[in-house]
Amino acid sequence: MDLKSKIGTRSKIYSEILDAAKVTRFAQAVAYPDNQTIPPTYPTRFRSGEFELFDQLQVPLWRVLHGEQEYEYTSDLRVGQALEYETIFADYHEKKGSKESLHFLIFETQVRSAGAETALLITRSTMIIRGTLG
Amino acid sequence: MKFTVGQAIPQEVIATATREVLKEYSEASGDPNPIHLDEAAAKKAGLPTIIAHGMLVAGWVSERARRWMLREGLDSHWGWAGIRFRFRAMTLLNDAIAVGGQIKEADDQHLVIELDAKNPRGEIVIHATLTLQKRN
Repeated sequence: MDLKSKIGTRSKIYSEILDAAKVTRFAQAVAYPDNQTIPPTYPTRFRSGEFELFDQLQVPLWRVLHGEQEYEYTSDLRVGQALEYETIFADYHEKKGSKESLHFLIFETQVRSAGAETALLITRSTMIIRGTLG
Repeated sequence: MKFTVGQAIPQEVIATATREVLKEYSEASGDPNPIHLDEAAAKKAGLPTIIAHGMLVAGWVSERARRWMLREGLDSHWGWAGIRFRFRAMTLLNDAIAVGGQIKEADDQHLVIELDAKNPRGEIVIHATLTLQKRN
């Protein structure tokens, strides 16, 4: 598949209510015992759009390595908040290594309060696939 | 402002990537990638054994930052503005991960800290840059 031509592909819009039990379980799973604040990596749960795009781009999940993860927070998340998010396949490039090529796929997810226009947070994932694709 | 650029954030062991920890994180985070759970899938992907999720270790880096903020008396007036995690090496099954670093920038409104997560082989698994902002 020509991934370059797929840049700009969008996922559907996902909705989620920030559920107290899920937040607590996530916090415990990352050894983050504070129950006053939501772990700053909690937005990694908002990856359904990314998984949907991997599927669309015919990239098998087991080949995906995480290269970089960035979060930009505009305001703090609160338990009970109704959120929606969508992911865009934002960029793609390749590097030819000595042994194999490396494919870099960049996904950007905007997380908003349900119905709002501006993002509460933006996540940017750089995913790496080694070897031949397609 | 009591913070100075270059001030160390001492290295502390946060957690160990046991099979139970990886399984619980897969479920709690909703990450279905089998390379964190299934030896055969990991080997098929060219890995020596199952590896920890990058974002699990990123969570441990955040926990190191939280402990530091608590000890330094940074209260709820301080919040996250941004974090960048760069994944540089793998956390293998049963690796204990230690996290430490230093203050990179400090003023009345912002703090930028850098933290490295290291595996027992001394490799930097994650290099993270974390920016805190005072919320007025």
